[in-house]
Amino acid sequence: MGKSLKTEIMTINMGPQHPSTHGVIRFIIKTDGEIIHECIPDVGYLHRSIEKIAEAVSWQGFVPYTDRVDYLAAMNANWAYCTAVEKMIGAEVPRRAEFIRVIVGELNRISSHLIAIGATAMDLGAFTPFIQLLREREYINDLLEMACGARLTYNYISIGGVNWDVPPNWTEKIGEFLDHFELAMEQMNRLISYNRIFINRMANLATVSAETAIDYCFVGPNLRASGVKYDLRKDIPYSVYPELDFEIPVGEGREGAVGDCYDRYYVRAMEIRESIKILRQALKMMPEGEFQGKVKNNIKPEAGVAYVRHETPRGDTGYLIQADQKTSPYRLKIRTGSFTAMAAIPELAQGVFIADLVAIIGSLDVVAPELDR
Amino acid sequence: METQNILPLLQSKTQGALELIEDAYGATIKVPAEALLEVCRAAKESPELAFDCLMSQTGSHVGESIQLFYVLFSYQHKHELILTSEVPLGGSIDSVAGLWAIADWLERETFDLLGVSFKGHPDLRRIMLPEDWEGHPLLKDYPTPMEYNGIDNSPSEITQSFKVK
Amino acid sequence: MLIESMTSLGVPELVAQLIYAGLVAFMCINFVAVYAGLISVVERRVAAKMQSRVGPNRVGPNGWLQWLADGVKLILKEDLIPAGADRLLFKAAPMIMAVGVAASFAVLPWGPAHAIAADLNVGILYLISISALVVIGILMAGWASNNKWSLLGGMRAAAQIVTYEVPVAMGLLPAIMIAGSLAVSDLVNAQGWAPWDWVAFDNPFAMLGFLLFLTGSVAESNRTPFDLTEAESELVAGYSTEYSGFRFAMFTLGEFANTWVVGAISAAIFLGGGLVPPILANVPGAAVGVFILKTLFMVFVLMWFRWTLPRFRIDQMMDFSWKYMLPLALLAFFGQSIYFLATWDSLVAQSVVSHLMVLIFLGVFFVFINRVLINYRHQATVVNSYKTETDYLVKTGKIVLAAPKEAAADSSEQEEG
Repeated sequence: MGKSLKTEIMTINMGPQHPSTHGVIRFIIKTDGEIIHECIPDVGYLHRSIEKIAEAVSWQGFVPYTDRVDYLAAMNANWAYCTAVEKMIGAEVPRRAEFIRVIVGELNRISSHLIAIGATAMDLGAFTPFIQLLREREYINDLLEMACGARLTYNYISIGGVNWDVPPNWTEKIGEFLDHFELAMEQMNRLISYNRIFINRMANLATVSAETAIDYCFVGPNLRASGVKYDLRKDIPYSVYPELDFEIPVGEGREGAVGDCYDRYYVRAMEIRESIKILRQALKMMPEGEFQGKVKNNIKPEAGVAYVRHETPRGDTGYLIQADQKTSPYRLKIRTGSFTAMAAIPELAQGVFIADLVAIIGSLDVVAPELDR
Repeated sequence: METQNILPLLQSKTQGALELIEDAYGATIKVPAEALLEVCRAAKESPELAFDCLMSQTGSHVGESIQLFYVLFSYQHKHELILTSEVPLGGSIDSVAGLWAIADWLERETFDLLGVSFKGHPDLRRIMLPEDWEGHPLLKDYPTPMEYNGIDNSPSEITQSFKVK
Repeated sequence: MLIESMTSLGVPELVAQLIYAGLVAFMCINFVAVYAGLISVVERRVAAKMQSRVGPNRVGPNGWLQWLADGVKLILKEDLIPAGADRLLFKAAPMIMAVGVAASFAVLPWGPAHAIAADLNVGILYLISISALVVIGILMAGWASNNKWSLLGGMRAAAQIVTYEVPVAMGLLPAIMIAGSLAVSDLVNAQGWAPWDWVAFDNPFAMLGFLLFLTGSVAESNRTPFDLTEAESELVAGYSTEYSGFRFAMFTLGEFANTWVVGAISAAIFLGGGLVPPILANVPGAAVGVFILKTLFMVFVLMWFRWTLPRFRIDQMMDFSWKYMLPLALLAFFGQSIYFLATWDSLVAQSVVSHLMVLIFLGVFFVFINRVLINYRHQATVVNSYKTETDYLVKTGKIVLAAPKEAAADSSEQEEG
């Protein structure tokens, strides 16, 4: 290049009301023209001290708060917490309840991934896929509404089972939905996933190696996109997942390097297919019977520290619970997938374009309330 | 590998006295605060342990001290380990941010909400709360502030009318 | 005609010409405003259709008066000027943009080849240069707003227009070579009414020129996939972030009016303009109708691009022009020259090539329509309501509801319990 021109670094404030920061997150970015030199995430705008609230409410009373931890996958958030408490008190969950949990959990996983890939597409300027995917999500919301009466924050899974039995025609309706959705998803893949402009934007961008991913404690689809085949549903199986047959999609460098933004996007799209597979099996296998196990109203787990992990759409959510034989947790810490993904942004966003930062945030599937809790 | 078997391996790497604590949910290893960094390094670098991931890090206010938890996980051997350590209120401990990149943010959160300082941390600032916030909310004796920068937070009449007497 | 009748009444010629120009300008500006308003409704309806939505349907019959409501709202809104803004430039920017777009209407044909407000002998050059005025407005807006997002948007616009002006102008060259003139009326008259007489289907190189012109024009009118200047997910709203009220309306108006310019130029220069078959030659309005239909079809294609494709990144946008479009434009230019030399004295060869082009195009179009229909059928599979009502499943025999009597008995039992 020879003699370089003298340029000045410009500091730009992105957020907290920026259209594509996926909630209330702020980035302080130092750019040279369009190229980012440094990106400092400023989080905490949605901090509601849910962990402090947990110390004041009963064990069952905390379930609705977990809805607010991750509102895009509230079923899974409920489920993660309830599994943790069930492990602590040694509660038995009826088989029918386990299947209902798997079905609502996987439906919710699909709807969460729909938002993730739709929002990524929207951040890259393609509006239509996002709105088409939201239409599909509406059907899932309707199905979940049939089961529990709510469309966003469900409070459906309870300690020891689920709160209500599902309506009689529910499984047929899910079957109908899946028949439609499989085609719709293929159409969506043709519209956006295999679009050349989209691939060029996402491929080879913000490549995360397996070592870096583990170092930053990436979990769930973000980790798997880097080529680490690790899914709690297979590796530390819980519920009835051992009986179900499904694959774990991992990043293979489909269009570029392993662990780039496109891999993170595509792993989610593939996980939707696997969820459909799980749902079809679970619908066939669901037995009749009780939907709520015998759990005392007044839970007092033994004193001690438990760390329980659960595979939610945003990855392995770890509940570290310290109990002291009281009616509420002594200390409860939720380590979420968004938090660890966000911590890697300063490293990933070095030397990329401003437009790329948006794609990186989208591909990491960061959800602000889960990040700040 | 079980925590019981991990203990002798870690003990051979450090001078500090490690202690196995068993409760209803499994075992944890209690590490003296000054030996924590050493133990963590041993846990990460020895090939038979290879804890390559810091899964979670937090603390809790117990009595007059803060009990810190470090949840380690190894993707290589698929085993898990919980280390605990104790520091006095507002005390400090060595940072493990040099070992695991995620420790940077997890320790900032612990500092923010519990007031534990981490020695050698690259960027120890508040993360969830604003820079000018007073106190650390997850301490058991934290009083709910009634006012912040002119924003009134005292309970309204309606809220109080719902309060169970 | 108008000028002549006025001079015969004793009006000085200069004044007569000024009156004529004023009248034409008045009509143009009004057309721009009404067209931009209506096309904004159309665009929103088209987008809604593509996205399984309804779109604006409240104001007026089926929402067709939405644009008036929007206009009234924007005019009544407070006109904000940021504290640190360069007030003069900030105020001038939207006007320059609107002027740039409106001025290009001077050389646009309106159906018959001679119906042009000002049939300049360098019409197409005038068009290329005057439409570049738009970017001056955008750059001024970006600079004057005193907002870093706006500034980035303005800089992107400058880079984009410089980059795409070249392939656009070179894409027009095959047409200019065929007509041998720069005047828009000559360019239209050099074609015929039938598709095989259109410049676009004249030979492969002219087709290439047309596609380059179309792509470049999308980029110049700042529409997706080249809407980097106002990329709302990256730059908030780009150059128009700080604008509100009527000034914002001017930007929007300019943008929507630009679609007509692109559509009309494509229709006039590449798709036979308002030329009609001899049978329809004496039907009043046939030429205008054909021309407007062609233009609106091109406008629809622009909307289609916009609501289907994601956005380029700035470096990819530059690469696309300099590395792919410019060489292809050169190929179109030299190819056209060689094609001329090769088929100079053989009208049969020219006719065979153009008919083949039309056939190939029809084949591609047929395959494409087939794909669309397959997608449409997939989309239309089960889009029934998944609400709690069981009607659909009962009708299709998927489930059998319990007899009403039993149900009533059940519920009464529950109540007792």
